[in-house]
Amino acid sequence: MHAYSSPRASLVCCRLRLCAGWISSGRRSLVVTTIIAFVFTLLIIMTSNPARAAEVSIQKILPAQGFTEEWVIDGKVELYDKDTLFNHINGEAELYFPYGFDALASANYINRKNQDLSIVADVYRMASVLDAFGIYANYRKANNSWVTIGAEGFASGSQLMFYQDRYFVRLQVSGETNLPQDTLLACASTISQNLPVGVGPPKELDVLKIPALVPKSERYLAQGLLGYAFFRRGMIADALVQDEKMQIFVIHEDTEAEARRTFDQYHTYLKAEGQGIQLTENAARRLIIAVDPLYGGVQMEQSGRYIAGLVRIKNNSLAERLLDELHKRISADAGS
Amino acid sequence: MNRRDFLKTTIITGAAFALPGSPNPLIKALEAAEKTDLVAAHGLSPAAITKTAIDGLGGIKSFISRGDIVVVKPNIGWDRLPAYAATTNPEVVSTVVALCYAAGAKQVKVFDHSVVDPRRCYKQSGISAAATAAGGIVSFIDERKFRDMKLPGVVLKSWPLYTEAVEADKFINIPIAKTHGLSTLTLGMKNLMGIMGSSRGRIHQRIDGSLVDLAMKVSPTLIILDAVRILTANGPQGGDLADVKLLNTVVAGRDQVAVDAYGATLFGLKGSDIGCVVAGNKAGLGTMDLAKLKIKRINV
Repeated sequence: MHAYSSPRASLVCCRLRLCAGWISSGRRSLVVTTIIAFVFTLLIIMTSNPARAAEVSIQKILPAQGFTEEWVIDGKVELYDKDTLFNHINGEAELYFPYGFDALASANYINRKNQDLSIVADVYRMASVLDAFGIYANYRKANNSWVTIGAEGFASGSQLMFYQDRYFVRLQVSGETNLPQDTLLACASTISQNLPVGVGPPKELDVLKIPALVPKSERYLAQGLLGYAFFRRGMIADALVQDEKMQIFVIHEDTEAEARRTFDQYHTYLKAEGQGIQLTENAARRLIIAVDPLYGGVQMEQSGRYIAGLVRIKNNSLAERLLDELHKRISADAGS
Repeated sequence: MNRRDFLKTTIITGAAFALPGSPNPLIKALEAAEKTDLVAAHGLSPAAITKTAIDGLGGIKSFISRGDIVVVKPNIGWDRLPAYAATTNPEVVSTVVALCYAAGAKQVKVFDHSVVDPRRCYKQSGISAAATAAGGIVSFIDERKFRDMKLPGVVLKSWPLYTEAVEADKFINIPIAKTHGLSTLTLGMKNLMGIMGSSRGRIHQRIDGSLVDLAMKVSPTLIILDAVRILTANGPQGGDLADVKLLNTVVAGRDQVAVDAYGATLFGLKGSDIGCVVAGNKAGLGTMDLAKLKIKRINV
């Protein structure tokens, strides 16, 4: 089922035909034919690939009856919005709001043979692919068992989570601590098929892809990166080089002026904390080398709309190298 | 005169009337109660450590009188097995129910305002079966029993509260210690939200002040913090065994702020890291400075 229905297409066609009525009869048939052909082509493109349709109805993403013969819905698909999300996940709701939570569809599937066994399927619609990734990565752990579904997913005996397009999907088993993963995957696959195919991981993460990046350690924080309110949002990940572990981060502001202001706020904070700061500035790049009261050694630069940095540094020359690599990634991203 | 000064005066006065050198049981009981603000019992049996923690505060008869109607309020908020540490340990709950009856309680009622389907929460948490087996009167929340009540609060002036909880002779709060997306941790004061009606979202907007206002109104007779298992991440609903840590601990106390402040330490935090603890301390609800408290730690 797609968001674009044939009655709407018919209406568009009718309106176009009315417009065509004012055009001279000699050219009318050519114009009408062209318009109709265009509209039909558009409809075919939109309906042939749900991923490219603008949106799907969140209520129809979850299977209305069940996802296999053995697993059937208990009740119906419930919908939640910003005002009612608390009623489903209590205070955890606050975690979702900064990521542009928009709507949640939830259903409980019970096992026909053992009705104490159930799977709660929650599909959250977030503001963007990056936001869906952000909320997903909040639950992701380095030692997860990865599954091939959506843009990325993981599973255990009691949970399966993945994100796809701007949707975050969370499956939770009840009544069992070690359900066979195949069952969770069957449920997830059914849901995945009803979601837009999406574009894979958010392209914003590309700026973190330096050789020292620890795979699957990336996170996107929609507010308070590193716990600092002036770092409004940004990406962070672990980096490992010569057995030294650090954290890299990138903040992408909307304008260069905002990036400068954010940089200045951090500089002011470090000064207020009485930390020794080395500040280097030129027309293209501003750099701080200092000790952060919470995160130890830090290097941070501002260049254009971007701020990039490293924390938990023990070896400044290693960190300098990684910062240069981040700078190159950012320059490539800015130029693309 | 605060509680401690009052007790000291009472003890000294009593001692003055006692014969020199003779053991006076009243004085000894008062001394024991006066000396202990919190008890943290540690051991493998949830039932044994629950009883030990209560005994350390002077025993269940210090709290429950013959004929009392008691409400026991665990966390039954989630459709989770006990292993996930999202709901109160059922053995801790059933032990408290049994102790209340042993102390002469007329009725012991057990309920919570579950976040998701209460049928499943009550069953999967194991609390319904365990509390019923101990004689507890287990019930689902009946929306008709919420009544708008005045609160002596700063943030909340009135709110629909569950009449059975407010009107009981004694109210025992039995939270589980776990992380919480909004309030950092959910401990005793946060568990009181389970007797609130209306919109959870509205409460969460000014949560710390709201919790203190509620705690002022409800004022539990006894708080028993279940830390047999704690949920260290992705709370309050959890769902991943990797987030659960086994501590085999139960903490008991009368001071809501003190119990929560101690609970914070189980996660490597301080009371001052938890908004409602700070707000409760400031409002005079209790003390978060553990250094000022007499804390008894018992291995069972």
